[in-house]
Amino acid sequence: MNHGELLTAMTDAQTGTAPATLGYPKAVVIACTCANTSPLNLSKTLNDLGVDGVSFQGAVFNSVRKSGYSIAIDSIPDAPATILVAVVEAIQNATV
Amino acid sequence: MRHIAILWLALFLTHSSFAGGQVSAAKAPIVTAQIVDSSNRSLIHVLFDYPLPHTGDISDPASWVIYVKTQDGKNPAQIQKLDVDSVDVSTFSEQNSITLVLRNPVSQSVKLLDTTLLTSSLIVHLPQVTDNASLATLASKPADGGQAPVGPSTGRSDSDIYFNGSYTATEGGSPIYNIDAFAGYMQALQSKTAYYGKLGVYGQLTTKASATVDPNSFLAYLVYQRQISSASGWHGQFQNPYINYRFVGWESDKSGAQVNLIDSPVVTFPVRFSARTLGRIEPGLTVPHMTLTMGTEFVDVQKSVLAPAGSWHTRGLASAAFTAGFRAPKPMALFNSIEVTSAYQVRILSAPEIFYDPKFGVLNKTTGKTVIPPLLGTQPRHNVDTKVTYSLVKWAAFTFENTYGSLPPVFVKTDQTFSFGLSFTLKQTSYGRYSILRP
Repeated sequence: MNHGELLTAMTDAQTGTAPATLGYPKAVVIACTCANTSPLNLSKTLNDLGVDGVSFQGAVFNSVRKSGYSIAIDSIPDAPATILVAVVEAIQNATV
Repeated sequence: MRHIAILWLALFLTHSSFAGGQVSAAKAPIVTAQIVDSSNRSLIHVLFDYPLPHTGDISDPASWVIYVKTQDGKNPAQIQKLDVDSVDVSTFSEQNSITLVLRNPVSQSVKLLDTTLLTSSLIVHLPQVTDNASLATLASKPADGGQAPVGPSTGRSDSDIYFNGSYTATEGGSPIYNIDAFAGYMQALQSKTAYYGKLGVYGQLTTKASATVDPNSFLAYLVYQRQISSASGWHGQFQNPYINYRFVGWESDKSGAQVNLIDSPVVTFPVRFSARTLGRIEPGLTVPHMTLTMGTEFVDVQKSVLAPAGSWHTRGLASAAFTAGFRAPKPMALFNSIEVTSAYQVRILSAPEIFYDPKFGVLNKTTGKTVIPPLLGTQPRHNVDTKVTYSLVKWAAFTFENTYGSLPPVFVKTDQTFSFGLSFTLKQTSYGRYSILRP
């Protein structure tokens, strides 16, 4: 199952629920998939994970939108010293 | 000699005892984040880092003591205890995180979350949580950006705005200035339903003391940035590429004798030296990664002491920046960490451009100084900067740096230069030097 299929299965239309915000579980899936890493590395920085911040930020932004939520792209942290869970914190508050 | 040996032995034993203390202290669980779930405010996710606690120490609801401070409008703040009904540890083996299931949801007006973990042998007071993102009290909207536009950074490589300068007065000579400063700011062009990319400005000022040719430079650009693909995944070892289009920019030396107008589209390809999804990476490891850049610089030489001005020509631009590192997860003899950074770029010119090469320097018999004349040429302009930092222990490191080549606007060539450095950073645990010297 690729990332697109995974997100499609997690959309509100599929799950039959419509939470007002993206929520923690979906945020973890998106952040880890866009960093191509296991959730075991949520406490690592983007630099530790060898992830380019600009590309990562764009991927997270697109994934949040594909999940049916909207977010300001600038609110997604993308600095080399950003730990992955900080991205989860930021995007879990994305609204419908 | 014998006294020196005893002194070193004492230092070694002292350091060893500190190392042993760190290991002992590290047995306390390390909590990286506590996050209130925005979709279900009765859940608090707690993320641990290595070394991980035993499941038995964290799975008992009675082990968790949680207080929150709430404040609604102008009403006085209130402290409230939250009861934990159960602890979900099903994600602990896969995510290093657990979920505390509360009896009542965390209020939307929460300002502070204070958690204490009581185990059979430890009392761990977790860092207090006050930020809106962790407390899920901030709804990210395209209109408000969701966070402050600037915040503190950890160093030069992590900065968007950076200034480092010094001034040295010399008796009977000219003062020496050293300035390394840059500032960049990107603003997203975004509405509720559409995203158009980012627009930004970037400026850089470099001034280095030099006895020969003045290498000072000033750069200023307006930039447009956007990911080329809207795909969310990776392509093997490659992340999605993105375009940086410097649609107008200027580069100049300090005196203004060389001024170039620049228009430059470049595409950046981030590469990680691992195509697979990363499993748990060792503490301290930086997965090797590289950024490849390809593009062109269209140059209009507006002013020069030698190069023909008033016509456009092209520079082909290719560059690569590599980063890798490893830090010992546990204290090791004569090894704490090693970090390698290397950047290479080459410009291929379609028309002659100015350059300064020290090997063509001429001695001025009157002043006794070597003068390097400006020259013209179309040869490729390479530039390499490689730095290796090897830390024996946390407080002592060797640095090896190799630089070679030249950069615009005046392309002052630096021959192969190897520099070696040693740094010590020790701190006395009491008042130290401040009790002897003024700070």
